Amino acid sequence: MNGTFRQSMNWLHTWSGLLVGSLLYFMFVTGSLGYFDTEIDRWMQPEVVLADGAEVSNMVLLAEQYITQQVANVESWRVALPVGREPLLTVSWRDTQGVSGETILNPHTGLPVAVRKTGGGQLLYMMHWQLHYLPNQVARWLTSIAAMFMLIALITGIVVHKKIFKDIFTFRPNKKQRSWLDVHNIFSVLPLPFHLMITYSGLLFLAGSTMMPAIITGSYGTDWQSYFDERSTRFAIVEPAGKSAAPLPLVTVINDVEQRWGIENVGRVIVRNNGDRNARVSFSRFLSDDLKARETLTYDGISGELLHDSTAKKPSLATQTSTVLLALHEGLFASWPLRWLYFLSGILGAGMIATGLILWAVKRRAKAERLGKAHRGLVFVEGLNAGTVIGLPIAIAVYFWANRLLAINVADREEKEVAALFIAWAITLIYPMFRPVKGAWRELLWLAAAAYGLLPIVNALTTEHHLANSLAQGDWVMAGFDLTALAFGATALRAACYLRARESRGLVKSSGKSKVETLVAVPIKATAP
Amino acid sequence: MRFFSERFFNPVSSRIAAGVVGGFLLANLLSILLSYVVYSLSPVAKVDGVNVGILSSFLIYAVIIIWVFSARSVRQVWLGLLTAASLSAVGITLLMPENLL
Repeated sequence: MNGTFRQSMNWLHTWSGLLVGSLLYFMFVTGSLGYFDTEIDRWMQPEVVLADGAEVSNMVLLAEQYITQQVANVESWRVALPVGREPLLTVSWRDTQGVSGETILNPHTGLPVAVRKTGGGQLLYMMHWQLHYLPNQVARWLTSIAAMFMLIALITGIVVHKKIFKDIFTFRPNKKQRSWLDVHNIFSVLPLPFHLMITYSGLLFLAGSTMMPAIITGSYGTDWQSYFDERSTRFAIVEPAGKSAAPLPLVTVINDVEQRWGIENVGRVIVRNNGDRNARVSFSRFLSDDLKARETLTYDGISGELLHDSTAKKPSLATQTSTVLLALHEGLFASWPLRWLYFLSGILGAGMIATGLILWAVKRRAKAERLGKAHRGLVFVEGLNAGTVIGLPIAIAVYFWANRLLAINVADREEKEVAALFIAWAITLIYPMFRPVKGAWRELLWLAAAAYGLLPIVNALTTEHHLANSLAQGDWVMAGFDLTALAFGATALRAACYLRARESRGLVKSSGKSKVETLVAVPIKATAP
Repeated sequence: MRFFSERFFNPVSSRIAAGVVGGFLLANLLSILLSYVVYSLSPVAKVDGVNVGILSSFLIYAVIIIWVFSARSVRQVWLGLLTAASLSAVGITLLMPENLL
């Protein structure tokens, strides 16, 4: 504004980042965990029986058998199959009264499996944009605005750089503000393509529904259904005819799918208008080596005739572009190495936001020390930073602890798990407000080290899936969770020890009365035997 | 009076209002205009024109915000926003599909 272009961009970068930093950090952390949503689901429901080579066609028939024998007046139902990363065989339904239900089945016997109620990894993943305890539309607006600020912070962050390439390789440790800036640059520039992609595609998710609905209305008026129909390659949903007809056993349709695609990749089977003359059965698959959305075959549920093949209509370039962007955001196609890269990029994004927040405070703290008084705002942000950056991971660990420690049959179990998360976060947010900054960081880091480091032990004490067992069985989902928790705990421990070491060095420094003495004191200490 | 003039109508808050609210409205107008231009003046289907508009909308919004904060004076910012909004409103009225409302 007043000053050069770069200065005004720097101003915009600083304040847009600070304003929504904590919310963005929350979105990056929960979003990164979302890349392992089904793996976290699995850890949080250790009772689940794994599919281990059960045949897909047989599992579909077991689900059909469960629906026809155990549930009355089913209007529509669907099966989610354990293919790819998905560990569960889940059948869900809605009856003619509009009441819905869901059961997890044993993939080998088709009998319901008793599993603990939990929000699982799905809940963490959905919090990424739905937050929690807030009306859906409010939460969507908040996350859209935060994402827009993120985009601005990214663009202005790029603009303020003089030498972006050199920054990737620059780290000057133990230089206070300079070091924080270097780390912030590394976390931002190294995964910059990821940050840009994830922010822009995230905004597109919220564009039509929340932020920019006027663009669709500008061409379709109130007739949004035509927009979705024209855009989609899927089969339009048909209303029930109101006349009942005997549904065709799925085995006939399965044979046809088998011939066209092979059945192994089918992940969803959906039956609509069950028992009606207009019954529709659709089989969908996601291909892991492709960026396309799901592909679907739709059959007449009475005659078994193939009505629609979603691969037949080739979507246009603009539609493909947005489909690919959305698929990139979710990483649905990602294999294990790529999925870890997604996770790490997301964590680096969280690190970028965290270091940005810390940098803001460190810069102003240095000035406050010179002036001898700290602004209220600075003290507040310092407390908020510790409670966000370390407090949120602690709260998520508490969510996992609650999953293991709450009684299995307690009422509203999943809500109590989430309550544990938010109570823990509230405490870690309030705590630093009553402590000196450095002390708060160190103590929260100790707590984080304990919360993650002890998680595998809690798991070992409460389930049979402890680390030794899961490693011996080659159960990499369970083992991976425990090992990741240990890695997080070790990182927190390392950081806490580092802070303690620096603190004790700092005591020597600050005992000196003037700046000159401090400068002299350090080399003397270093050369002493 | 001093409260209003300096607290809320200083150059910074004026630019924030211009960027966030004015930018949002202008980004919507320009994206709608872009979608009309794409499907009325080229053989592209209507749905794709709309998708082009949606895909570009956030980039347009971001560019406007950055311009708002880098322009030389607040006067220039508001004049620029109003001119661009009026021009795109004219374009939208000319190209708007019939029977929309």
